[in-house]
Formats: sequence, structure tokens, C-alpha cells
Amino acid sequence: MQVDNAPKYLKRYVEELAVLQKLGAESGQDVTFKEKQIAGKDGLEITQNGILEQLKKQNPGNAREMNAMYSFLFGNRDSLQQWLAQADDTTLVGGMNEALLLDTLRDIAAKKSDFTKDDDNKLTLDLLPAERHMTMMLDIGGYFNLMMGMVKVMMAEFGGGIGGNLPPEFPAVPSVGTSLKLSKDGVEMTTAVPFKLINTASNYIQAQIGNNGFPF
Amino acid sequence: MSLLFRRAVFVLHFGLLLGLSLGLGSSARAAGIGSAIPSKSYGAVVVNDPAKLNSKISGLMQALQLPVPEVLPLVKFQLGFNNGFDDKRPALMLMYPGKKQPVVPVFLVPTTKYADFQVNFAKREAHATLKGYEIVKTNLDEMLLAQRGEYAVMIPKEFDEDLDDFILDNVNLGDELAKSETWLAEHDAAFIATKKGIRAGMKAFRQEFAQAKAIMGAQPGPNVDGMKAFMDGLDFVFKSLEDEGELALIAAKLDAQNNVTVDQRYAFDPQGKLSAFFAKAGPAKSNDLAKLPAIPFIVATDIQLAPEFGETLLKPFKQLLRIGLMQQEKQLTEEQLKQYEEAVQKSFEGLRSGAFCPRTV
Repeated sequence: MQVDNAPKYLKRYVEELAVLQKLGAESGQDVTFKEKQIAGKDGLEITQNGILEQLKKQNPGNAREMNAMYSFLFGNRDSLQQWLAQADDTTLVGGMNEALLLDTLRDIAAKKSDFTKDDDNKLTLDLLPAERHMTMMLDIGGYFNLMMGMVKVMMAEFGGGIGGNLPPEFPAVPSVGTSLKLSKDGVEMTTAVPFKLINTASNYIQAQIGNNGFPF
Repeated sequence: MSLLFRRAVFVLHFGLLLGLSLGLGSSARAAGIGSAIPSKSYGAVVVNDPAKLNSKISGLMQALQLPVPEVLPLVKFQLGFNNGFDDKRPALMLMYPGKKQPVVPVFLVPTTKYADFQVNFAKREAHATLKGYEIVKTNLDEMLLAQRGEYAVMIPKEFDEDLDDFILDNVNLGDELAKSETWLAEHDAAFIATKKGIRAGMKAFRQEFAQAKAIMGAQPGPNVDGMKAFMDGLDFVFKSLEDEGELALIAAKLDAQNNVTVDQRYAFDPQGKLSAFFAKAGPAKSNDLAKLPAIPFIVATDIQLAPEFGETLLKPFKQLLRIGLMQQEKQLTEEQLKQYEEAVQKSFEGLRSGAFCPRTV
């Protein structure tokens, strides 16, 4: 997350968490948090207990599915742990896996990564107007793979009896980008789809259909 | 083939013709498109240059290695437009108010010479007239044919009275579209919703929405009040759009590298609440997302809005939060709910951008 001032943001976040923790306890939620150093950086560890039980109660007819999905997303535990750490003056990194969070902190510290300079991201961003209030990048391939991962877990839960063979992993592609600009004259929105994404999706679909011609 | 089916196929083919404009647009050709659209239309689909689009689509299909035949000759054959059709000028399909039904389709076909275009149909056996208009048979449907400037006007035969109105209608969208003519011309195809279209569309949509709200309100459950309040909030937005929407434009282009871009523009009553609200967003900035790491992600967002604007946007989020809290076993008091919402709101202060990254080991 990019914030105006990371130390100030973190401090205020702790204050608000204390309020949320107190109110959460009164509504039956069990949330705790503690300030801690993560890779030598100021950070927080937030724990929400009994979340699986809570989900099961709210969805009594789908307890088995909820269990499978929860395990896929958060691992086999009943408490949901999240970490938030200050990477630099304006960057905070949050995550549900402490080891991966440490990797990300190291990447940022090494300054080896810049979202806007990545070749695929650049393809999409270059198609959007230079000035914008909001930008959203959606990685269709990543989303597809995430969903397939979830389906795999579900299939395992149900003995592999649904859906047959799953399609292979979708290759890395540029994202679909959307931008928004607001003014007294109204709203301007742009959605950009780079050719590389169209081409990769076309090849992927053709390969899945099993022939080299037009599918329709 | 039933009339309805043939009508649908005709619209589909004309739509394909319009869709062909998803190629490079010609700015000169699309200039002044507003003068071709009567103000009382609900909307229009505009094509700038069908021939160029055909070439672009062929190029795209080749790049994708998809063996698809050229679309334009096929469409011209189906519609019977072999002679006199100027495939380098804008073609339009208007949604015009009708007497027998609320909206009737009016097709404006650019012609090189109207007399040449007439020849396409004059050879046919069913050549006849109705109220002085030629009845022509395309391969798909019977239409009335008339001339309006450099365009041939085609309208389904039963809407002869509407054709009278259309031919005599001289009040057009020229002024309303003046600011957007250049922008439209930079695109290959566009959908235009007029003030009348937006307001009629939103009114109809709100009627459906009110029914959904009533059904939901009748369902028993612990969070009915919260959901109803949320839907009331949404309806407030829809009502504002109905009252203040002036123009909506959705335009697409395919660039030389075969990248697709869809642009949208929405304009509101300059004296209305929505214009005042959007004016609060502050100046737009650039170079966002720059400090996010370039690791795999699902969604990456950047929001740079003036604080008071962001506060307004958080309102529906807080309403959703409230609905979630009301599903908990122990109910919070109204005062506690407010404290909870305030704490959540404060936790958003100073947040500029974020990315959701499904990083794996």
C-alpha cells in the first residue's frame, strides 16, 4: 500500500485497531493485535480467532465447501493472521504469510522492483491517459489461475469428481487497465486491452479447443 | 423466417457493419456527426470508416492466425449494399422515438450518390412505394428508403409515420456534441446516449430496481434494514443520474498495434449536484503505482482524490460494513456502529494506492 506518511499511518492504524478490537469483542469477534518488528521494520501482527467457525455458522448449508475454500486461502488453521509492516517512508506491506511478506520487504528494500517499469505493466499503462485520479490493473491470467487453484482444492475435497481435467496454467500476460478522471465537466473512463493479452488468450483458447482453426 | 427473426438478423448485420468501424477512425469523416443525430433520439451507434475497419479486422485476424473471411463484403451482400454505399464515411443506427412503439431503429447509410444506392433495390420485383417512400427488400427485411442529405435513410416498413417525422426533424445534437466531436473522431465506433435516452433509461431501470427493493424488503432476515438503507443509497445515485445526466459516450478504437481501448465520457447538468461533486476530486495526477513492487498481482489500484471526495465514496462501503456487523451474533448499539464506522474511515486516511499480490513460495 502506498500512503502519504507510513509511520503516521501505522500509528493511527494502531489507534483505530484498538477501537475496532474493543467493539469487535462486544459483537462476538475475537480479534487481537500486537505491535512487532518485522525484518527490522515497524509492524503489526493481527489475529482473528474462530473465523472458520464463524463462517460455518453463517453458511450452515455449505460447511464442507467453506472449509475447503478457507484451507486454500489461509491454510489449515482456525485463526486468521495478518501482518503489516512499514517498508519505507510511504510504503506498507501487508500479508497473510510472514515468510512471503519478508520476501516482499527485501524486494522493496533492494529497490529492484518498480510496478510501472515492468514490461507487461508498461504495455497496459501506456495505453491509459497520463493524468488520472484512479487506476486499476486487473491481471486476468493471474485471476484465472487463482480461481483454478481454488477449483482444484474443491475437486480434491469432492474426490476429483467435478469438472474433469482442469486447463493448464494461463501464461503471464499484461493486465487489463482501467483509469478514471473526474472533473466538473464529468467523468472520463478508459479501459485498455493490450494485443499481447488478446493474442495469448486466443492461443490459449485454441489450444484448449484442440484445433488450429476458428472455434465458431 | 419470422419477421421478428429477420428484423433481428438485419439489426445484427447492420450492427456488424457498424462494428466494422472498430478499425482506425478517420477524424475528418466523423467531424460534425452531431448534425446527423436528431436531438429527440434516445441514442445512436456511430461508425467512422467501415472499409478501414474491415482492413483492421483482417489484420487483427491475421495476427491472431485465425482464418476468418473478410466481413465487409459479406455484410454488404446480406444488406444488398453493393452499389452506391460509401464505405469510407460514417454509418449510423439511431434509436428514434416512435408512434407504434417507444423506440424505432433508423439506419443512416452513407452514399456516394443516392441514385446509385437506389439501384441496389430497384431491380427487385417487390419494388413499390408507401406514402411516397420506396419499399425495398434487403436480403433480410422490407424497409422504407428515403434520402436525407448525403445519407440514405432506411427504416422498417411499418414505421412509415416515424419516417415522416424523421425526415422533417431539423433539431440536432450539433451543439451538445460540439465539445466531443474531435474525441469521437479519434475513435472507430461509438455509442451515444442523449439526455433523453439517459433519462428514459434510468427511469425504466429505477422502476425495475424499485421492484427488486420491494421484494428484498419483504424477505425476513436480520439485515433487511441495513440492506434497504444500502439500496436507498444506490437509488439516490440512480435518481441523480436520471435528473442530471446530459450525455454518455462510449467509444472504441483499435490501434496500429492491435491494442483495444474503450473510452467513456459522461457529462452532467453543470448546475447539478453531480457536477459539483466531481469538481471536488481535485487535479488529476500521473506516475501513480510507481512505488508498488513489480511482483505478480491480481488487482493493483491507485486512488488520488481530494479527502472530502474520498469521504463521500466511503459512505457505501460503511453501509456494507454495517450490514456485515449486523450479521454478527451480538448486535452493536447504534452508537457503537457509528464508532466502528468512524474507526474504519480513519484507517483509510492517507491511503493512496494498493495492490493485491498472490505471491507464492
